[in-house]
Amino acid sequence: MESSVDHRLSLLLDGEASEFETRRLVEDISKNPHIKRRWLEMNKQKSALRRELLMPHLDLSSKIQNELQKSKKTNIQKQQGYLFSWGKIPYMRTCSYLFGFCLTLTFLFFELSSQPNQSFFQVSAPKTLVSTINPVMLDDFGRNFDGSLRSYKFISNNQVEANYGIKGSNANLKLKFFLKDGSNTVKLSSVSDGVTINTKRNNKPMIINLSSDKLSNQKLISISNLFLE
Amino acid sequence: MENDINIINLVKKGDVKAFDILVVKYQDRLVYSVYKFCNDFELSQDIAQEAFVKAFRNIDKFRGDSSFYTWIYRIAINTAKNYFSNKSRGAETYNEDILDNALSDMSLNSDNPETLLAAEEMKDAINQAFQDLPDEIRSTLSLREYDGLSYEEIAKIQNCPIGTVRSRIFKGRELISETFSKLGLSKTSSN
Repeated sequence: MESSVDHRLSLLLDGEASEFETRRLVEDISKNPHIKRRWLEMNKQKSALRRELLMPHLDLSSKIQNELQKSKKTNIQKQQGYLFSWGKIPYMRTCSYLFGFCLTLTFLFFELSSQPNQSFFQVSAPKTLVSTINPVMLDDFGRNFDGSLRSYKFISNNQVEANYGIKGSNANLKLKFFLKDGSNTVKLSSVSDGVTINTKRNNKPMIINLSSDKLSNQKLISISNLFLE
Repeated sequence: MENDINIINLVKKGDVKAFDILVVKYQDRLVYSVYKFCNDFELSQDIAQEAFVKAFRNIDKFRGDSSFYTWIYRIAINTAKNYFSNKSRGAETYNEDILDNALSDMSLNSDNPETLLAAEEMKDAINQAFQDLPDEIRSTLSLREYDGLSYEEIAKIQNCPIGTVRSRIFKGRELISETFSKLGLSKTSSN
């Protein structure tokens, strides 16, 4: 067991551990003092071998961790201080903010009152899917698989298309959401690439199609599982 | 070149624990390099510490064009330059030539061995243990430690499977580790 840990640490030391293994080791080292000590020893040994060891017992890690925690707290306090520092804002600037705010409200009031039967969201999107799919949800969903929402569009009342860029690679992912009804039969026949799943959203049956230019079907399946969870 | 990309990606997501891995990995090398031109134990530690903190705060600026060590080394040198500039504005402690040489020469040799006795003893013992390793293991470990080759490159050179490289390096470290334990560092470093 110990030898196996040492073996894994040896790979980490040489930058040869996989992404998954690196994540596991980061957790193991932070939680287990014994493994942390072995990691320190192996690095000391490496430094001695390369004749770069100055102080055998040097370990800056706890000092640096404290420093980072301290500055994190200071930043939070600064942010809180900023939120409650209205008194420091010059009078003229405050007035101009208020004036701008009132102007925006007035504009919104006239704009929306000219379309009495539509809410703000419905101005930009058809009715049916808006209740189940919205941009905030799409954006949040992307975070589950390191995807950043690049664009989305409501193709029709029953169809939404969202495009994501996958962080750290140049792969794209396209998600198509369909509400299951007769009018979509034709559209669904055009969905041939990638992975398609049947699920429910707010008790409404829904079909989701995932396709990508670079991601493997296995990866698409693992992302599609997020919808089923 | 050291491959720290997996760890750095975690740090970029704000993982402080992952950053700790990098600190332990590079602290000795960085302190050693900084010590070369400031000749002060305490100061070299402080500068290295500050460089690590700066590196964490600016990790998004690290593009991976060079190794992480090269990047943090440059941060440390600039930190040292600022320190000396602010302190003395060209007085006797600060020597621009030394700093510039340090920037271009990253494998400097110690010229103050009397203050580094413990470390020197350890280095000698470890290097002796390295020399005593079986030939195959020593040559594999040498290609890794001194030439900085990846496992794949070593496997090609030695015409053997990558798994063999992996186990030879591990075995070599394990054997050296026995010498290391005898020197007593394993017990005291836990403090």
